[in-house]
Amino acid sequence: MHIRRIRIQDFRKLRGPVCLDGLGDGLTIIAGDNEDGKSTVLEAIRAALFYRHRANDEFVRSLAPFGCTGARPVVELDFELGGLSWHLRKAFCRKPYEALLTAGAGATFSGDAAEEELGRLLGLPRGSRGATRPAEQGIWGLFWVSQGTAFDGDGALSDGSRATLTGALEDEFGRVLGGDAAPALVARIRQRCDALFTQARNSPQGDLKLALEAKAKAQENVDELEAALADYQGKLAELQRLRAERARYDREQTLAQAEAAVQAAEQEHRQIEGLQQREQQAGREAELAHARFDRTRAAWRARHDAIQAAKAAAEEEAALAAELAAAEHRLVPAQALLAQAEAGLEAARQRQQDTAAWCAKADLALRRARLQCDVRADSAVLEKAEAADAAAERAAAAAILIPMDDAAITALRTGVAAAREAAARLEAAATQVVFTPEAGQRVFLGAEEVPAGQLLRLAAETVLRLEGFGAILIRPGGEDLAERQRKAAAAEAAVAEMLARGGVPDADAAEAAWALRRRHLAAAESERRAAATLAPHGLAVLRAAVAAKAEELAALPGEAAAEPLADAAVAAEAARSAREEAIRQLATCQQERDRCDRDREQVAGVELSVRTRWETAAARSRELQQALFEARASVADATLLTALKDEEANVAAADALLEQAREVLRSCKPDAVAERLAGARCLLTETRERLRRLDDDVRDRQGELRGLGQHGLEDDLAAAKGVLQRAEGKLAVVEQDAAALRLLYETLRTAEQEAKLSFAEPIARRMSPYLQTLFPGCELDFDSNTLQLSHLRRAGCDEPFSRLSVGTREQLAVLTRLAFAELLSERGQPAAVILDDALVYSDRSRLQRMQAELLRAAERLQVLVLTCRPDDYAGLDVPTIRLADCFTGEPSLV
Amino acid sequence: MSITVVHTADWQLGKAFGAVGDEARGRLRDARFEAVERLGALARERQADAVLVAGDLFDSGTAGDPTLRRARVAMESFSGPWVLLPGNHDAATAEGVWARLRRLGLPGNVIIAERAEPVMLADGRLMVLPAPLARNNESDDLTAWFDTAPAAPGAVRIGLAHGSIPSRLPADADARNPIADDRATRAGLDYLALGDWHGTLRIDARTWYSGTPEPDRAKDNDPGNALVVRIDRPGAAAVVEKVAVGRYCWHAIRRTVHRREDVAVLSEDLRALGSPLDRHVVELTLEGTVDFATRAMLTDVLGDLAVRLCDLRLDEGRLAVFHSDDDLQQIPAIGFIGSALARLREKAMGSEPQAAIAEVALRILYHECRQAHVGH
Repeated sequence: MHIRRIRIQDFRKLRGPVCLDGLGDGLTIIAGDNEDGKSTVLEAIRAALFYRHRANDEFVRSLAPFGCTGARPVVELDFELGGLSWHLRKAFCRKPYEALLTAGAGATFSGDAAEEELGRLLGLPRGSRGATRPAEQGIWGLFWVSQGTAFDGDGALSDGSRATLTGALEDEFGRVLGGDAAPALVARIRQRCDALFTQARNSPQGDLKLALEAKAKAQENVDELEAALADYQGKLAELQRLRAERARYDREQTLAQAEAAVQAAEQEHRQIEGLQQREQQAGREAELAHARFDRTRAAWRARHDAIQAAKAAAEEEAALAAELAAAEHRLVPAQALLAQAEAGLEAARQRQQDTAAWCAKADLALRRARLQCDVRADSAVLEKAEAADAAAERAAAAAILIPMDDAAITALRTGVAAAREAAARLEAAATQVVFTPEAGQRVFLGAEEVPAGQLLRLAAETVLRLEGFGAILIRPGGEDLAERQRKAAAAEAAVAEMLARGGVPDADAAEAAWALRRRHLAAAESERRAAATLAPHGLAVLRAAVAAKAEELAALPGEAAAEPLADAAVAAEAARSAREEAIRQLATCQQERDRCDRDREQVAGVELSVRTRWETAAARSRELQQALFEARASVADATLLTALKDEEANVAAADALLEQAREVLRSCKPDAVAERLAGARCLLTETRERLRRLDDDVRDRQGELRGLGQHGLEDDLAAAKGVLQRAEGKLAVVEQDAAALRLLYETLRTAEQEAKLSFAEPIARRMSPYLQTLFPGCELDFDSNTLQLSHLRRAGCDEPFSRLSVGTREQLAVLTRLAFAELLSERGQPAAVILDDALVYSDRSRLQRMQAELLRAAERLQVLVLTCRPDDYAGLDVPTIRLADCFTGEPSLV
Repeated sequence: MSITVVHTADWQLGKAFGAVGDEARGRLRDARFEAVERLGALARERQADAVLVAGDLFDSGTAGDPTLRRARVAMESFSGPWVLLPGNHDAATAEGVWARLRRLGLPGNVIIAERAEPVMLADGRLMVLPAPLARNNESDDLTAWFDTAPAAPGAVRIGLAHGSIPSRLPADADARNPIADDRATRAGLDYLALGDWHGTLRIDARTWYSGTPEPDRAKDNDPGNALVVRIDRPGAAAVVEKVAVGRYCWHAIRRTVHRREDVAVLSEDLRALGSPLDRHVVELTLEGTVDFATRAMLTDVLGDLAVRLCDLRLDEGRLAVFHSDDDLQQIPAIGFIGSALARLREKAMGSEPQAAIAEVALRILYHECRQAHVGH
C-alpha cells in the first residue's frame, strides 16, 4: 500500500479540513508541534481503513471533536494497492453515515459493499474490522506504529502482529510447517505420550503404568505361589520321611524289643537283690558276734588292769615311805644354822643404831657453825646497800627542787629564738632615722636625747623633739608594722613568763639551773645502781634473808657454843664414816640369815612333798585292793577267761558265713546287671520318646498339609503363570509402543523446530544489514515459535530483549518492522510504514544512523514519519510536510 | 454274563489353562467336569458294571477343595462303581489329593484304588488289578505284580494302570512310569486299561489307552473319547468301542502371511473350522512379513475371530511388520512431517533395537494419518 493523499475534517482535534497531499513513494516527514494533531492523522487513517462507518461503539463515538457532539468526522484517503489507485471516503458518528470506495476510474462501492470490498482488499478476516487494537488490524497494525508503542511488550511483535505476519507469509510458513494438520498431528502424538509418561518426571502413567503394575503384581503372585508350593512340597516330603521312619520302627518292632530287654534285665536285677539281702543278713550276724566278743574281751582286760594297778599302788606306797624318812633327817641341821644367823643379825642392828645417834649430833654442830658465819657476812652487805640507797634518795630530792627540766629548757630556747626573730622582723620594717644636728642642737625622744649619728629605728608612731625646732611626729608606714610589733611584744612576754616559771632572771641563768639539775639526777642513778648490785633482789629481801638466818640459828637445839667451822666439819665426817660401816655390816648379816632361812625352807618343802605323795599313794592302794576284792567276789577270774575263749570261736564262724555270701554275690556281677538294666530302660524311654515325637510330627505335618492342600496351589500357580505371561506380553507391546511414541514425538518436534528456524532465517537475514549499521558486530536471536526478538548478542554475551534500554528496544522494533515490510514488499505486497514519533528515545548518534536506515528502506518502501522535531530530519533531502500548512481554505468535506 | 466297563483316563480336573484368556479359561475348566458327567451318562446308558479311570483324574496333587467337590458331584451321574487310580499328576502321596478327597466324604460307589491289591466288583465277576502311583515318577513297572496276582475263578480280570509303554508310544511321548507292552499276556489279563497318553490308542487287542475325554491341548492324537469295553467271559476277546465324548476341538495352526490375500485365506480357513466356532480353541502361529496395511487388515480379521472362537492364542513372534512404499504414501509429507518421516524411515532401516522402535513409530504415524484422514 502506498498512501498518496489524506483529507480529514472534524476528526478529534483536527477540525479541518486538513489535506496532506503529494505523499511520495519514499520517505516523507510530516511535521507538527505537540497538540497539532500528528497522531490524529494516524488515527484517521486507521479509522478510514479499519472501522465500519456504521459502527456506534464508544471508540467510534470518540472520533468526534471533544465537546462537539453534533460533529460528523470525515476522512478521505487516496492510496495504491494491488496495482490500482483507490479513493476511500468515510463519515462517522452521525447520519448520513458514509462509506465510498472507488477503484481509479473503475468500480465504485458504497455502504456495506464498500466495507466488504475494503476488507477483502486489505486481507482482513471477515468481521474483524471495527476493532480498536492494532493486533487485529492485520499487517497494518504492525507497520503503523503509534506514538510510544514501538517497544511495547517483551519483543518486537505482539501476538496479533505475529499472526498477521505469519498469515501474510502463509505460503512459506505453510510450506515448512505443514499447515494445520502437522501441528495437530504433533499435538495428538504429544497427547498420547503424555498419557503414558508424566510431564514432570517422565515417569510411566496411564496404560504403561497399568501394564507395569499388572506385570509386577502377576510376578509377585507367581513368586508367592511358587514359594507356597515349594513349602507345601517340602512339607509333603517331610511327612513321607516321617511316615517311613515310623513304619520302619513298626516293622523292626523296635519298641517291643526294647521292652523285652528291660524285662530280662529287671529279672536279673531281682536275683541280685536276693543275694544282696542274704549278704546283708550275714553281715549283721557277724557284727553281733564281734560285738559280744569285744564286750567279753573288755571285761577280762578290765580285771587284768585292776590286778596290775593294785600291785603297782602297793609298791609305790612303800617307796614313798622310805623317801619321807630321809627327808625328815635332813631338816634338823638346817634349822640350827638359821638360829645362829638370826643372832648375828640382831647384834649388827644394835651397832647401826648407835652410830646413827653419833652422826646426828655431829651434823647439828656443823650447822650451827655455818649459820653463824652466814649471818655475819650478810649483815655487812645489807649495811652498804642501805647507805647507797639513802644517797640516791638525797640526790633525787635535790633535782626535784630545780624546776628547769628538759621540757622547760627546750620551750625557753624556742621562745627566745622566736622573740629574737620577731624583734628582727620588726626592726627590719621600722623607719630608720639618723640625726645630725647642728652644733649645739639636740634631739629628744620622749625625755631621752638621741645621740647624733645614731641610727634610730622607729616602729611606732613616735614624737621627737628637736631643739630649736620643735616636735616632729614620725608615723612609720611599713608593711604589717603593727602586726610585727604585736608579735614581737608577745614573744617577749612569753619568754618573760617562762623565765618567771623557771625561777630564773634570764636565759643564761636558766641554762645553768638546767645543768645543775642534770648532775643531781646522774648522782641519784649511780647510787641506785650500787644498791641494786649489793641487793639484787631488793633491800627488803636482803633484810628478810638476814633476819631468817638469824632466827634459824637461834632456833637450833642445844647450847650455842661457838665452835670453829673446820672442827665441826671434821667431827661430822668421822661420825658419818662410822655409821656407814655399821650399815654395811647389818646388810651382810641380813643376807646370811636369809640364806639360812631359804636352805631350811627348801629341806622342809621336800619333806612335805614326800609326805603328801606317800599319803596319796597309801589311800589309792587301799581303794584298789578294795575294788579288786569286790570284783572277784562278783565274778571270778577263771570264769571271765572261759567266756572270752567262747566268744572268740563265735566270731570266727560268723565271719566265715559272711565271706561266703559275699563271694556268691560277686560271682553274679551286680554292677554289670545294673548297667544292663539302666541301658535297657534308657533305650526304651528314648524309643518311646522318638515314637511320640514322630507321631506328633506326623500329626503336625498332616494338619499343615490339610490346610495348604485345600488351596489348589499348583492350579493357582499355573493360572498365575498364564496371567504373568500375558502381562509380560502386554507390557512388551505397551513398552514398545511407548518407546515408539516417544521417538515419533521427538522426531516430529525436532523437524518442527528446524522448520521454524528455516522460516525465521529470511527475517533475520533482512534484519542483518539494518542491524550492522546500528549495532556493528551484533547478532539477533529470533524465537522461532513466537517470531519475536529474544536476544541481542553483543561481544559474546546474550542480552534478553526485555533488558535492553528503551531507546535500543525502540530502534530494534523499528528495524524489525522495516525488515518485515521489505520482506512483504519483495513478495509483491508493498506496505507503507508509518512511524509516529517513534524514535524520540534515540540519542543524536543513533538517530542519525536510524535516519540512514530509514532512507535506505525508503528506496523500496513508503515511509511516513510523523514528528514534532522536524529539525532532526533537516539534513535529509526528503519532502517535509508541515501539518500547520495543511489546513486548507477548501470547502468543507461535509 | 458279560462284563461292560467304561474305560477312561486323564480327566485332568482343575487344569488351570493359564495361557488361555480369562473367559475361555473358565469355559475350558468347566468342560472337564461336564465330560465326567457325560461319562456317567454313557455308563448309565450302557449299563456298565464299572467306570475305570486310569489315573490323572486331577491335574495336580494340590487340586483345591472346590475341584474335589465338583469331581464328587460330577460322579453322581453314575451310581455304579467308579474305580479311581492315582496317576502321575495325582499320585497317592501322603496328605495328597486322595486323602483329602476321602476326608471330604465319598459315596460307597467311588473306590480309590490306592493300594496294589485286587478290587472285586460286580458280585465277584470282575476283578480289577490296580497299579496306583505313589509318586509321580516310578522307575519300576508297577504292573509287575499283576503277573502273580491270585486268580479269581469266574471273574473277568482287568488291569488298571497309568504310565507309558515306551516301545509303542511316539518318540516324543513321556517315557516315565514304564509298563511292559506284554503285561496283559503275561498277567493273563482280559483287558489292560491304560491312562497317561491323552489320545485314544490301541496297543494290542487287550491293551488300550482311552485318552482324555475332553481335549486339553492341540495335539492331533485322537483325544476326546471314552472306551466302552465288553468282555463276555473270562478269557474272551474284549470288544472295544470308541465313543466321542469331548466338546472342544483344539487346533494348532501355523501360517505364513505376506499379502492381504493370505489374510483373506486365513480368515476363511479359520471360519471353516466347524460350527459353532466357539467350540474351537486355536493356537495360531504366524510367520512372514507384512506391511502396515496388511497388518491392519490382519488385526481386524483376528480381532473378529477372537470373539467368535472359544480362544485364539496368537504367536506372532516370527511375523515381521515392515513399512511398504504404499504405506508411506498414506502419510502426507507436508511441512516438517516429511522430514520426520524420512528420519524415522532411515532409523527403521538401521540397526536394532532402534530400528524396531522406529518401525513401530512409523506404524503409529501411519495409523494417526489414516485416522485423521478418515475423520477428515
